[in-house]
Amino acid sequence: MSLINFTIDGQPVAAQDGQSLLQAATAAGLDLPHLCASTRDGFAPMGSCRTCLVEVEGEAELVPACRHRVRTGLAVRTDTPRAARVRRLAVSLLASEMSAAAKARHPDTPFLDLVARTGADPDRFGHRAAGRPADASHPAIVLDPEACIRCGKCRAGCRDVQVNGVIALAGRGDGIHVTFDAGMAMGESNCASCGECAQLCPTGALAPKALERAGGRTAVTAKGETVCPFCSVGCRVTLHMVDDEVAWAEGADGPANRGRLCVKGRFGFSYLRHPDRLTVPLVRRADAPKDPALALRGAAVLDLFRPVDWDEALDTAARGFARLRAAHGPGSLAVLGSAKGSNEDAYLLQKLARMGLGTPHVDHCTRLCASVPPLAEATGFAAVTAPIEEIACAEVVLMVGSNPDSNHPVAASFMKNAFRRGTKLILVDPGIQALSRFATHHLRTAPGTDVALLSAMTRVVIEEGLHDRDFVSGRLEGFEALRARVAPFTPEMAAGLTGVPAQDIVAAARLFAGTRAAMTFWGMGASQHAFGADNIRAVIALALVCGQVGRPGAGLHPLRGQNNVQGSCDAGLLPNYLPGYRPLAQAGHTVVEMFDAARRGAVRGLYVVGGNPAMANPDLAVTRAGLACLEHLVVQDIFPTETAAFADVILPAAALAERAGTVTNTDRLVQRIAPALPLPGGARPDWRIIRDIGARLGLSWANLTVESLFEDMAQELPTLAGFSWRMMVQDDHARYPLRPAGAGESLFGDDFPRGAKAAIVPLDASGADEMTDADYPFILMTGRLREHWHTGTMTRRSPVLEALSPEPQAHMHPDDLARLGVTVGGEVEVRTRRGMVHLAAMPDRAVRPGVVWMAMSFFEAAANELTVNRLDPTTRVPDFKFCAAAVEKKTYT
Amino acid sequence: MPPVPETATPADTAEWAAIATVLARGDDRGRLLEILLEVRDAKGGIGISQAGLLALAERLRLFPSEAYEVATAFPAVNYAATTPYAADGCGDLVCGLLHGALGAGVCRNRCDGPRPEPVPRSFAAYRAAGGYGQLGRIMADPGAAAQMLERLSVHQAVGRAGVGFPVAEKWRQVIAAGGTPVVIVNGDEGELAIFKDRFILENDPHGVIEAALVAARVIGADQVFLYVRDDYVPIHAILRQALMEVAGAGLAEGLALELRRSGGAFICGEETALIASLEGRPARPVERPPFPTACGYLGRPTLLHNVETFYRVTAAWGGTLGSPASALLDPEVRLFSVSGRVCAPGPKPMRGLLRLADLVEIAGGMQDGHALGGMVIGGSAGALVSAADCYRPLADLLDEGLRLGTGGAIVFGATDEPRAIAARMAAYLARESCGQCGPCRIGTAHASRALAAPGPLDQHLLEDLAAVMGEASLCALGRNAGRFLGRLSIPGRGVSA
Repeated sequence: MSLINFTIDGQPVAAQDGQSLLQAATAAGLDLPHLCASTRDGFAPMGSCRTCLVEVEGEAELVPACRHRVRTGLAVRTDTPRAARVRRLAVSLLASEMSAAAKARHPDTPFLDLVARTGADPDRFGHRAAGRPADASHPAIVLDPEACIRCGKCRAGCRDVQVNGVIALAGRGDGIHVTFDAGMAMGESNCASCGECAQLCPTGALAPKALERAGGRTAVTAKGETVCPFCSVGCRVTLHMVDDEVAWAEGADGPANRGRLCVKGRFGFSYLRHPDRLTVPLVRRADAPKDPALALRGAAVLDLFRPVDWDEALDTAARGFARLRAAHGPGSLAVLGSAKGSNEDAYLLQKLARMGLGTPHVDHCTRLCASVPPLAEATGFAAVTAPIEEIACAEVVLMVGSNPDSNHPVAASFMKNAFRRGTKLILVDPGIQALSRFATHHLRTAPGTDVALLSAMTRVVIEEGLHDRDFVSGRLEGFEALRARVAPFTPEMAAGLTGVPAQDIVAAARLFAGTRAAMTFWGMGASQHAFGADNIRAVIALALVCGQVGRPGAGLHPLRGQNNVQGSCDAGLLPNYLPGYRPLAQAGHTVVEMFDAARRGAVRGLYVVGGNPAMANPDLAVTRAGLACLEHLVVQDIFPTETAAFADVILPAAALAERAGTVTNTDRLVQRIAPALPLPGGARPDWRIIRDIGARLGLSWANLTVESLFEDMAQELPTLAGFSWRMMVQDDHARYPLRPAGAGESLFGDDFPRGAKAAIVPLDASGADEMTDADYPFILMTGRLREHWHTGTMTRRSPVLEALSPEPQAHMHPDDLARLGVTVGGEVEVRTRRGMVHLAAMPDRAVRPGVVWMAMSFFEAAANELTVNRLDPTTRVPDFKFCAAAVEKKTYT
Repeated sequence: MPPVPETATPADTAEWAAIATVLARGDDRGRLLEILLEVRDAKGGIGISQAGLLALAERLRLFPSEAYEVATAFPAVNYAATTPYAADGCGDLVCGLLHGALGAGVCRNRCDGPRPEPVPRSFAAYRAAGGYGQLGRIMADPGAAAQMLERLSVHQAVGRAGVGFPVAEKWRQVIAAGGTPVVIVNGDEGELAIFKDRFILENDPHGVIEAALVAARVIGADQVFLYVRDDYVPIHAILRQALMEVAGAGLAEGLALELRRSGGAFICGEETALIASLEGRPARPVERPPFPTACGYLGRPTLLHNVETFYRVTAAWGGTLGSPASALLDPEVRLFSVSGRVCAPGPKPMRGLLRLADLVEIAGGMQDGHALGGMVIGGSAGALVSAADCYRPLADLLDEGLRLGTGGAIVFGATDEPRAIAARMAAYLARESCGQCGPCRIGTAHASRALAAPGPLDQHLLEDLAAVMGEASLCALGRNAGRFLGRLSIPGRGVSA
């Protein structure tokens, strides 16, 4: 790329072609005055505030630095009397937008800094009259319209960057004003509560309620940066502490989020200082029964335990395992980790299982997502072939069974940026979701019919000769078998099975095959089925026959669920692989199988680190019965979870934000974290607790550190070749595999880790366990809400998230509810062959008729009481997306 | 569109039916403004409801906020929150002069007083007079397109929106930009007391259409928009009829012709704001460059002239005589829009005007009981010219910097207070500011208040406002408003008292 040389106030500046004067100046370390512009990714210059005007030699008029392109030889002056006067007056005019009282209410804002810096007189033009009330209808953000200078930055953040499109600048002339949707109050609007507006607002007009106090903003006493734990995107976030509380969070300019956050990253961190935090080790009282019927959680769990010191807790934990190992063999022990810890935690935990306990039964909750194994099968690589950001180069996106706007909102924002620039979306999802608005084709399949749809699309591609012949002949195995397998799936036949019109299937297939570059995403809507691997195999087959891999904008991307799914798998926290995916001949038990084994008496001791199977596993009655059977259960967590109620020892762990280490996001980006805030009470980092248990089981681990663990991994894991702790300290992040500069981010342009060719693998061809019938006529699907994560252990302890989404709801089509006689605000009973829950009915046109959709995060009506314990033969994932249910109007007796 | 909920009132149900009918004619989100106007028409002039707007947004796959911005940025939509059209006389300058302060409604631009509606020259009559001959030649011979550019250069056709940019040069820029261009005929004519485009369209619509079609052929466009003031209702019918006739005669082959109505916002005289409104966005200008000739409607190269410019282009091939508007084929003829305290206001084509005062004679002289006090020349951000100056040679005034703009001449009497007139001009500019950029939004509001307030004028304030608005505003509306204030604050020539 050619450099552009020019001068600002006589100082030479080198810039990239295409940059604005402001971008170039900022990159060169010059801080030009500006207000409505942002140099952050995704912000287009608006030019509304007119405070970045500069003189350019040869131009008659002043030009806004935010919009003016750099050109070789430009002589830019910011310091002429003319520019200074106009800038001063423009800023003074803006200051007159605030009422005098509002100006006093919001001291220490970026805007008032600009006033001071430009020498503007904030009272030169008087002030707008007071009398416009604040909009405090939102649980976490307040709008003080009297402080608004109508610069439009919030709208740009809401519409152009986050693409939530809620904030409007309505009206015209002096009547222009910030409002929400079609003139609603913020709390009544479709606000996604990402908080971008409050992070951006330069005047305090939009501000976090937690920091707003009469007479000015509460002083932030400390700040610390970490990586958000609430999904696999890996947003860097700066926590703002007021005393010992997390009062506010701002998006840091991380490689995955570019300053953006979602509602959970913004408002979800208050769990860190929730009074329920475990701060002392606990040992079960001898008289406390393990009764699944009690369904204890939270502080109520603590009554069953007595506090002990760390030595006693660790001794008790280790002794229990040693005793069972001696009496019943190492196979009687199992370890259940979590994808919510660090790489070092995962690495050490699997080591403890294999070396300390000697058991093959080690797994973690990635099992419940299971979106990658079919990709590894096809390519020999157990991670995404292209990061999310490659979507910027894609012409088409195929998205199967994923709802990133709820589950990966920051990733979704980058996707929506691409859709608004013209990237076309083929969305395969039974329900309507936020991305439907952007879809060229939304193929609303009947639940569980993805294979039929994708096979038909593949058939269209092959029949019409639209496949990538070079790729198929040179880089693909199994094409002929695929051709034979999809042959029966005519579009008409698939239309009958899926409910998607045949012409839409054909059109989508042509669009996908005919494009220069397509990204393919899939999520848990594809994987969480008893035939989840087949769903994904069918997705991958379609992408591969079209050659949509290994080029800019072309790649395969399973959207991972939890923050360290990738790293935990890489580290070998799996029953069938050692670190670095070295396969084991004999696999141990997986997440669900462990509890089946516990009920049989085969597994007697379990070490749970950060997992909550008593909420997360399918068919909870069975899972909880398994937990109750265990002779020795050690639960290590930050809260007394539903699982902890069955523990013999509870070990208080540090939260991710409180410790050091590395995490790996869905994009294979390894990021270093340092403690953003101190440990509460006696809580300790997971790796340290694991180390101390290991030491008690005879391992010489006393000298282990985070650094040494990372260095060990860098030696042992092929993916981390070339990584070092020093590099992580220096750069904070790096994507594996390390690639030469300019190599691009989309892997496998030439060959695959498994060899020259990718493989299209035959299907297992298993079906759903349970079809609907007269007694159970509805299909139950589970999933997540934007506001709550996983089993709700953390998010339901955030007052803001809880205010936004306080109760479990059964989402159903209004026609179904009408047939059941359920009126607005009514409750339903949802029943399956395994359990029954009561919850509020939510009329929702986004849900297909005949489907009940429930979030998994609510203990009051735990969706997994209802789900079916049936596993995919390949991935061993349970079918969370399909079981038969009965729904009735709840009657009060 | 979701089915009507059971809780809907009969009024809701009727509105939803109206929305469905309108959408059946086209649901391209770019037509949002037109759709909102059609819903308003279907509801007998009442704007869409909030519930209707939400349903419409969902159907067009727009965010509710996007639809709401458009609904509230265009007064003609009559959304509850905005100012509707004045039923009978507005509060703007001319009505204000003649009738005193009236309602706050939006002007319908009838400052030329009651005049009989002219009968437009028919398609047949236009063709009989040689019309569409040039278009036919260009369609038959692609080589004629290049010659046309040459002719325009020789003819020295220039834009008639005030700046006088050479027409041929603009066409060449559009061609040079590459891609498939779009042609837009700007008939929005939002400027205070200007009615020249209406005069042309109601007399000789086919002249304008032929010029636009010739332009489309020469630059290789595939789409032509006729963008016309929403309240020029009779002209809509004239143009619809004309477009049908043109299409029926095979003159529009390969071209999409569409009549679009504006939303009653003066800012749409600004090219980029006009284009925004055609794209279904609020009428807010975008900083230039890039210029619309390179990157305009939906990012495509866009050729945009006003009605008068297009009409006068036909003179490059001799034009078509026989209509009252044909006088404009003479490039030396200026079309003045004379209004105010004259007996016969209206469009006045003039060749070689010597003194502004002569316009009064052309317009039937001053109204009874009034002596000439002066004129507002050049529109809402124009100049107040004193009676004495009106009697001086116009050439001298032009030498001194007077700009005629689009030919507006609002005549006021000796007893009319110049400061009150300036205040009404400033109020107009404040109301018509799009509100997007600080200097214009805030500056026009401050200026309007300062001029309307009793007591001596704060000259220092006017100077500061003039400087920041004139230098820092995003578009010409704010910049011209600043220059207007600058002229007011010149000692001895302003409206100091």
